[in-house]
Order: sequence, then structure tokens, then C-alpha cells
Amino acid sequence: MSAVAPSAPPRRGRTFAAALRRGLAHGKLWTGGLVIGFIGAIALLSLVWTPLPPAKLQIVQKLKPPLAQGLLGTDHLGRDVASMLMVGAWNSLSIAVLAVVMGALAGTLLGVAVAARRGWFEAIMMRANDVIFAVPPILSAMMLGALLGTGRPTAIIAIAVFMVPVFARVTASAALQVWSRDYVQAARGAGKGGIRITIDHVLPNIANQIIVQATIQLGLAILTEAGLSFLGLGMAPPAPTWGRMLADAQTYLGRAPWLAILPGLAIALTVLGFNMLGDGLRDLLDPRERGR
Amino acid sequence: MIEPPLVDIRHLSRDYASGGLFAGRHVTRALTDVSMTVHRGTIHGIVGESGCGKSTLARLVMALDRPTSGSVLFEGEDLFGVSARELKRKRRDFQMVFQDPFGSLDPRQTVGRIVAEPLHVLDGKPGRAERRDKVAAMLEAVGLSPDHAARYPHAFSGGQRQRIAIARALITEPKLVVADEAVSALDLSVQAQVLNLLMDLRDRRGVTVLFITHNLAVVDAVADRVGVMYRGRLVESGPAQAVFARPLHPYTRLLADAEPDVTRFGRPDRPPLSVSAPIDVGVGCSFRNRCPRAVARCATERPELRSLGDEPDLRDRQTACHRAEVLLDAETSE
Amino acid sequence: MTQPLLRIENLAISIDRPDGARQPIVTDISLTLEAGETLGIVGESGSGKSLLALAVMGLLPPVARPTGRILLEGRDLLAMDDETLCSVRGRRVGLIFQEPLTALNPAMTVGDQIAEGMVIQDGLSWRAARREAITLLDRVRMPEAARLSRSYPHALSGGQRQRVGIAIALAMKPALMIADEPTTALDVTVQAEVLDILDDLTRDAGMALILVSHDLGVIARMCARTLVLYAGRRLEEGLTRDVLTMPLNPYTRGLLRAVPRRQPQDGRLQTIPGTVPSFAALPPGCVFSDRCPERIDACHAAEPRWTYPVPGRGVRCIRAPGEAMP
Repeated sequence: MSAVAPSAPPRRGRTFAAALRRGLAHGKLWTGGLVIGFIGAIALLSLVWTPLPPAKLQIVQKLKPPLAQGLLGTDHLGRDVASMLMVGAWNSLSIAVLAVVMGALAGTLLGVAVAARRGWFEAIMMRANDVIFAVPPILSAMMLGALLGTGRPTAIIAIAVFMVPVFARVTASAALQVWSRDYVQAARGAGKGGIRITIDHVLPNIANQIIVQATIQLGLAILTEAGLSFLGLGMAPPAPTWGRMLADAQTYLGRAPWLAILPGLAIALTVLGFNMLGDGLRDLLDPRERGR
Repeated sequence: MIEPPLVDIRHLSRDYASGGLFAGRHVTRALTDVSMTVHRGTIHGIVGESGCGKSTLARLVMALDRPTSGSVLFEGEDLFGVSARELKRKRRDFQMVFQDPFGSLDPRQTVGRIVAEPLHVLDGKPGRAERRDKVAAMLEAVGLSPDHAARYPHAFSGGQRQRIAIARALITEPKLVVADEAVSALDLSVQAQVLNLLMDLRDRRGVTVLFITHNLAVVDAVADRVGVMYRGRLVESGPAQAVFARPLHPYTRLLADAEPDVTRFGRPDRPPLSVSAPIDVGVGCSFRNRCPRAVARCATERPELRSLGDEPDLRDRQTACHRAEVLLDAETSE
Repeated sequence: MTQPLLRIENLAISIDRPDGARQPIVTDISLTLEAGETLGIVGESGSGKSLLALAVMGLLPPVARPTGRILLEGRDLLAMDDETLCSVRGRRVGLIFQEPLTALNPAMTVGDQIAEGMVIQDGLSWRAARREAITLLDRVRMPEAARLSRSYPHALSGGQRQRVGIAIALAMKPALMIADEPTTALDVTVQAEVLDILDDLTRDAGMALILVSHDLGVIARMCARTLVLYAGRRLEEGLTRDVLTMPLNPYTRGLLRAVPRRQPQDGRLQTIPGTVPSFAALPPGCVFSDRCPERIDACHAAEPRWTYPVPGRGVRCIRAPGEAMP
């Protein structure tokens, strides 16, 4: 038997288009990463330093436009808007990240279990998923709020519950694809059970898709959190959140539009940042791009 | 032969249910009452076209699927009658090589890890060093180099990947390797290398191979015995050389005639193949609508697999055709 | 002066690599094809055969940089703008793909897909075009043509889909048909039927055929002439019967010996050692020199020239018989 010299398989076809796509992906990745990095840094900074304590009232200085008082002006109670935005960034991001991590963990677990078991288990779980998915997070937050009282844990759980079906669905369909591959058949032929195959083959091959999905869901979680606190279902006052800053600004839209514009911009920028990051990651990690 | 066969397949059938909401439930019979034996140290070919049930047969022999009825005896023990634990222990004795050398290796694992995968069913799980030695020895046995173990599958060509898949199948020193279209996706020059490897493994290690393919020439080149399948049934079986030299079933003849050959130039002097009308396969011979020798009996009575006699060149051969004697006479007089 | 149907002159194709460098793939291809002729292009994966076929179809991807000329009825495909190319492709060149399912629209009946081209290009009414589609399906021996013309691609078998693919190409009455591995995905008996159909069409309609395949048996069955490609180079060309019975290039000889067949006394099949090299790592000199059993030192020195040892027979090998006087 002669030894066969190793050689790289010929790669053809997807060269230029791939390069272009990679370039674009890097563009989106970098922009999204920078935006999120910036906001994340501000959120962390707010833990140790803000220009003024965000809850400090200076009624005399109320409704001052940006640069007139502090960097970004003051609200109707004379609180420093810049400081509130900084602390709001921490509140929003921490809730969103925790909720997505919890939702992703539960959803992924459910998804891989469904793919491994199929049959009636799949039918029941996926229908249960549909039911949860049909309940708006606002509604579940209201119900949870009635049970637990409003606050950070309520917001986190309400958003996380809303995330579970999304991750379960994405994971299940990706995992089912992996289960249909011959290497999984080979593993079954080698006597491996469902759990071993899930750990050894399924999870490593779907990790990319879960990461991409999580990034995109983070944007959605930020939006949902803002919506909850806008309705007063988020963190309890006086903790500043972007959503409640928007809600408070409604009354003064004519006199002090920056009070609405600034938190609105913060929300939009964060969501955009996460979406670009997710898009860039998807293009970069897409399994179709990395040879079969 | 006094030694019992390695694999004894008895009256194996497998139904698949399809349809649902609108179409109503519909049962398709992928495999119907197939019986055959595979002897130790041989390459046993199974040929047939898509939908003939050959891949279903492979999955059942590998115990990746359960039959609707019938049994697979491996060294005398029914694979579907033993406990899950017992089956898991038996799995070291039969392994599989798949068709697509790109889909059968996990892209996220190193070659070393892929090849070592089946070792985990062994009772005393070998240690890290022993595993590495085994993988290295196996890679060398299939013509690769031990330092390939650290690489990922994408660094290898199709032929090399198929060697990796064969190394994985052999690492538990199985008695049976089921190869489902294992060389069909490979280039001609590489295909011959892999076929030679299978023959070497049979001769040097006594490995038994159930070699499943649609390609007659490939089976003819490597197989000791062959079974021909059509629409879920075994229609002919016997020593490969005899079957291809003088088919006893019109379908085998049709396959042999249809296969392009580098020594036949231009249009073959056979009548153009006719487009077959659909028939009820529930009764009679399921090949009758394409058969040039079909008679009325073929539409009413199902031909069972039978021997044609005890003459030296017919011994050990079976066919499921009412008209086999006529076919035999015609072949002899040609 | 009569114009050949297709004349390729010094065609070379390179591909832009992601790092910006250009990777030559197909090199120094010249050939002519007369109306009604059949040419087989043989090669393993990585031989450049599909890229060559795409070039003749005018379907090269944007990353491909061709040089040379591809003259179809005297007009250079490489110099045409997209619009002209499009009409040539539809009307003069027909294409048959390996997997027709990917080339068919899943949401349109197969009859309408055949008729579409005739409505757009020939200005037929839909009613007339649909009737014509059924005639075409009959010609490719589709059973129950009238009924199946109203079905959707997913309802058809692989062989039936390939018939639809051929009927679509035929609808434009092309002068040249290019088929890239048209029967690789089909069963042998279905393959034989499809080859019969293609054979009838070239015979009766005087259509020229370029058939790209890795299967020497299919080439022997279908093609009067054969071109053997390896690593983007032509290594041998001539009448199929001559090439397959008296190969002049060691690669062709190796391929023929590797065709699986029963060996006496359990003998082993002959092989070509090693694997096809990647385009980025070709051996110096002759591209086949690293795997060639007959190589000598001079093989590594320079790439052999394309020579004509016998009229109508070309080869690239320094050990082949010398050039015949023209």
C-alpha cells in the first residue's frame, strides 16, 4: 500500500464573491462591534463614575437643553440626562444580556432535545413553544409583575421566556440538519447515544448559528426592555432606564424634545449595533462559506 | 461450507409510512422478504438502482433501523432480539462506510478524533496513548500518514477522506464492514485505489464486506458473491463471476446491457429501452412491465427465489424468475 | 470559406483569488467542432472541464478572466456584450445540467417552462407554445407527455426531469448542445434511455453535442471525438475509438487501466498513484509528471508542447511519437 501525499483539495468558484462578502462582513462586524463596545464601556463606567448622581434632583435647573447644564441637559426634575443615559445603558444591557443568556440556554437545551428525540416529544414541545410565542412579552411581564412585583428579575424573566421559543426553533432546525448527516449515522453505528452525539457532534456544529441568533436577539431584547419600562413594567423608579426616560419625556415633547430624542437615539444605536454585529457574524461564520 | 455464515438475513421486510394531513396514510414497502447469507472473509456485493431497497438493507444490517418483520442474525444472534446494552457491545463487530466522503466526517473534529470515535464502545476503554497508537496504525493501514491525525477533514481530497472513513470503520477490528456506495463519489483513478484497499483488507485482515452499489463493473471487480435487488426484492444471487458472465434474471441482463463500457463504441445494437407502463406490484413479478420475456404467468404468480439445478455452474445460484430456464437456454445457444 | 460551428483559439481562463492574485485554471485550449459533430470532454474533478463548458456557454462567473477566442458561427463569445450573449445562449446553444431539479422552477408546470422560451424568443402564443411543448416531450420519449406537461418538477422522477431539461434546451432548436455530466445522477437503465435520446437528437436534428463526463464508457457510447483534460490542460485529443484503444498519453492509459473490471485470480486493479494536484500546487514541467509511471527527468524540465503525431490526433507528452509532417 503506497502512502498518499496530502494535498489541499482544489478550491474554485467562490473566490471573488467570497472576498467581497468577507470584506462587507468585516465592515459590518467592525461597525457593530465598535458601537456595542462603546455603549458597553459607558455602561461599565456608570458603575464607578457618572458626571452627577443620576438621581440627584436640581429642580431649579430643570429642562435645560444640552450643554446649557451638564453635557446633555437636564430633565423635568433637573436630573442630569447624561448620567441617566449612562446608568440606563447599564440597566438595559444587563437585563438584555441576562435575559438572552437565560433564554438561549433554555431554548438550546429544548431544541437539541427535540432534535434528538423527535416523535411525540417534538410535537408536544413545539406546540408548547407556539403557545409561549403567541403571548406578547408585555402581557407575560404584566402577569409576572402581578406575581412578583415589578423590577429587574421580572423584566429579565419576562424577556427570557419570550426568547426561549426563538432559540428552541432555530436550534431544533439546525440540529435536525446535523442529525441527518452521515457522520451522525456513523456515530450511531459506533454505539453512541443521543446525549453523546449531541455533545460531540451537534452542539459544536450549531454553535455558530446560536451565537449569531443570540446577537440578533440582544437587539430585540433591548427593544423589549425599553417597551416594558416605557409602560412602567420594567425596573422600579427611581432607577433610570431608557424606556422610562422616553415615557417621562412625552409631556415635554414641545419644550424639551432632546429628552425624547437622546434615549431614543441610544436605543436605536444599540439595536442597530447588535443587528450589524449579528449580520457580520452570520456572514463570517456561515457554514456555507467554509467549504463543506 | 460447514462454518455458519457471519450474517444471516431472514425474511427481512421494512415498511415506511408517509403522507399525513391531506394525502392519507400511505405505506411504502422498501424491502420485501429478503433472505441472504454473508460468509466470513468475502466481499458480498449488492447491486440495484435507486429505490431498490439496498440502502434500507444496509441500515438494517447496521441496526440503525428496525425491520417491520424478519431478523438479522449476526454470528447466530438476532440483532433485534438482544438488549440495547448487548447491541451496543456488538457494534464493535460491524461498522459502516458511507457514500459521501464530505458528509460522513464531522468538519469540527480532527481526523484523529474521528477515527477514534468507535473505540468508545469498547469495554475497557483504551487510554489516551493507546488510542493514539491505534489511530496511527489504522491511518497507516489505509495508506495515510500518522501525522494526518492532527488535521481537520477539509484539508483532504475525496479519496483521502474515504480512506479516513475506512480507518474509522476498521479501528475496532470489526468482522463486518458495510460499504454503502463507498466509491461512487470518487474519481476513477482514486476509486481503483480504494477498491484495492478493500480487497487488501479482506485478504490480510479477514474483514467481511457488504458492498452496496449501483455500479455493476465495480461489483464485478471486487465481489466474491453478489445479490441483485429490484423494487425491494432480491431477484438473483450467486458467485459474482458466474452471475455477470451468465445472468439468470432478465433484470440483471438489462443492467449489464445498460452499463456503458469503454470497449463498446457508438450506439449498442439492442432495441431502444422501452418506457415502462406502471403496474400493480402487489401481484406477480414486479419486473414484468420491463421484461422482454414476460408471459401471462408473470402477471399473476409471484416468482420466488429458487435454484435451477445441481450442475456445477448453476450450483450456489438462485433466481426469482419463472422464465429462467428459457433465459438460460437462450444464453447458452448464443 | 465555410465557417466551423465552433472554433476555440488559445483559450485560457484564470480565476481571481481572494488574496488578489490570479490563478490560471484552463490553459491553451484550441479546438474546432463542425455542425452535427459530437465531442466528449473527459476529466476528473479539478480538471477544469466544467469551467471550459461554462466558457463555451458564455456563463463564466465574474471572477473568471478568459483570454483567447471562442468563435460560435464566426462570432467571438468573449467579445460580446451581455445582451447579445444572452440571445446566442438561448437560440444557438442549449444547455443540459447534471441535476435538472436545480435548473427547474419548482412553482411552474414543466410544460410552461418548456413553452416559456418559445413565447419570449419566438413570439408564439402560449396556446401554440404549450402544444409545441407536448410535442417536444414526446420527442424526448416522456410517457404520457400531455398529462405530465401539466405537472410540477417535484412530481417527476430523476429521469423524467432530465427529459424536461433536454426538452427546454431543444425548444430553441440550438445548433450546439452542451451537456455537463447529464446522466451522472441517474440510474444506469435511465442513463441508457437519456443517452439514446441525445443520440437520436444529434443524428436526426444535425445538432452538435459537447458532452462533459468523467465516465469513459459514456463518452465511448456517445462521442465521435474525445478531448482528455487534466489540470486544465488538454493531454490528448482524437477520434474516441483511437483515443480509447490506442492512447498516446500515459494519463489516458492510466485512466483506462483504472476502469474497474474483473481481474484474473483476485488480482488488484491498476491505479494512478496519488491524487489530482490542486491548481496552486502543480508539479514543474508536465502537469502529470508527479504521478506518471513513464516519466523521465526531462518531463520536469518544461511543459510539453501540443503536437500532432497523426493528422487529427493531438497529444501533449514528450514521450509520444514525434510530430507528423503537416
